[in-house]
Amino acid sequence: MRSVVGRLVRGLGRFLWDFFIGDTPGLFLAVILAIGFAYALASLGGWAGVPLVAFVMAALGASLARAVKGS
Amino acid sequence: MPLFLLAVFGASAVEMVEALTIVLAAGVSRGFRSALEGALAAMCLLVVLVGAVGVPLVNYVPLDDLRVAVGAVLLVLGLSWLRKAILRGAGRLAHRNEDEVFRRTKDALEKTGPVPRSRDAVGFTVAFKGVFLEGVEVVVIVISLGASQHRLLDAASAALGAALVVGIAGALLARQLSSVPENLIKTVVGAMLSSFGVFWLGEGAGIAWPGSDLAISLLVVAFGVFAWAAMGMLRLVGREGSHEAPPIPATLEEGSSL
Repeated sequence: MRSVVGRLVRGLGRFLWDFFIGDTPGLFLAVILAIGFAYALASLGGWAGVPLVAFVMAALGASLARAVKGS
Repeated sequence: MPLFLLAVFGASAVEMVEALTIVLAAGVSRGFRSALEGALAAMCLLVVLVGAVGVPLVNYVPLDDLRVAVGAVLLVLGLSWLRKAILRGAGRLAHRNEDEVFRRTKDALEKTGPVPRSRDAVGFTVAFKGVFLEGVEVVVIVISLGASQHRLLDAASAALGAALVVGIAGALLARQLSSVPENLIKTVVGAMLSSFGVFWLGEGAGIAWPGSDLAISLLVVAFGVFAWAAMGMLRLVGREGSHEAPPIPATLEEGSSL
């Protein structure tokens, strides 16, 4: 019984890893950083969303550059 | 149609094209009765998942916390979709070939032994897994977009509508799924998911977007322009490079379920 539960937990963990992180751990990390960045920017008001969008696009650009370099 | 329903519809359509390829391969090689039963059982389970996870989220999680979590999930999915679509559009990653996937799946299934006269467990299981695994991503998108707008039922209906349209189109086109402009749809949906993701993440954290919900449309345009420019730049870099790097086979990059 314990081994079945262990297998299920391991399977679920592997599935979640593939689903959210997979071959782009850099993008996952960037989104985690973006959450903190968003809270830090919220106090600025006005156009605080602009640096957040720029940060996200820069992360995507960096991920693309890494993919091209690695190919 | 509101933008978030369009995003759900597009995402569901792309995933269902991929699922339909597997269901058709299972149907042709192992019989359509078992394949369709497997696909239907998976669809039922996906609908139950939407209700079981989505309804408590809508009713019990504070809206701002929900929006930050939902925004983060949408951003992870959207950026992954966009990245893959840009690399494919720039010729840096091989396009997914539905005809090839169909042929490979059919060949593999035909080697699994004779088809029984009654229900075929192999055909059922392959179709079930194909629809369920492709559908989980749609479920995440339905729950994320539906819950953040408090319109879970509308989002689920849009996803089911897309599955129905793809199913009917697939039956009429008789397997010519490779003619679906999958990468274009993936680029547009990736831009939409990323836009909703960054918008909800910011809104949930307390950022006030200029123009409120109108900012989402501007974000979609911004991500679309970014994707178009990135594809152009990567193509240019590829042409100027001293050696022609062949595109990475899709199978190697398809390691994740995204």
